[in-house]
Amino acid sequence: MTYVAAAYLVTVGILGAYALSLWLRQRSLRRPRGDGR
Amino acid sequence: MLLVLAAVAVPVGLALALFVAPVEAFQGEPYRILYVHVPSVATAYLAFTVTFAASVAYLITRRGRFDRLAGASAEIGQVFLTVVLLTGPIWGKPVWGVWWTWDARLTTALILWFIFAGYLMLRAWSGAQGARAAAVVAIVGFLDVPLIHWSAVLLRTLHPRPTVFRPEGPALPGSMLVVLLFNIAAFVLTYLAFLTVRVRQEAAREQLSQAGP
Repeated sequence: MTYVAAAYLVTVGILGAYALSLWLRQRSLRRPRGDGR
Repeated sequence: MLLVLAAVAVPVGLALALFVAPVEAFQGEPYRILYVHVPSVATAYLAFTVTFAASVAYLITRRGRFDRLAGASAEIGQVFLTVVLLTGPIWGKPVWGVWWTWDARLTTALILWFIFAGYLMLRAWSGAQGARAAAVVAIVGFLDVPLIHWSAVLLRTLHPRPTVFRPEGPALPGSMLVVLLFNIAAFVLTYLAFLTVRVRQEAAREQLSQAGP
């Protein structure tokens, strides 16, 4: 069962990390841009 | 909407795999890794197929949206392929006694990971000018996908032959097959949700860069 738990945690961890990276990218796209100064 | 559906379907699928699917007589509990390993493989194949088709379409039409679709799909395919390459050894250790072996299927899958790692680096570093080169790399790299699938059929490998995607039909009993198909659908849904967001982000990023500072 340890191997099964490890495999499921790896799967959820990788997919979750990618979802988080998408959310962070989305947030940086939505952030209002300054006037360049 | 797709993201919400995926966020519900994946935990439900994993719970079905852990608590509802019956135990396999020969392998015991470790066989439950099948329910994350096979859906990840199927989704990675789908993602790289979309990249291949979008790359061909880009080379013919030179429309930016096909290039964006190819890049986004390859990135997500690489995520699922990473899951495959990590859950495979975790399954291999209790069943084969080794984490890794240089068997034809495992080796061709690892080669695919390196090909698309190179593809993503090429896209990241070459910018818009590299779109044509990236499309060629994706088309050539995709040739490894059928090689991976058929390597376990045509060659003597430690990795078992396909049990679901085979011409004679699935070899799994119904109670296992239903849970597996549910998980495949949940992973494909996750891929589609990620793809929709990623393609929109790339389009927005291009618009911002064209608008200037």
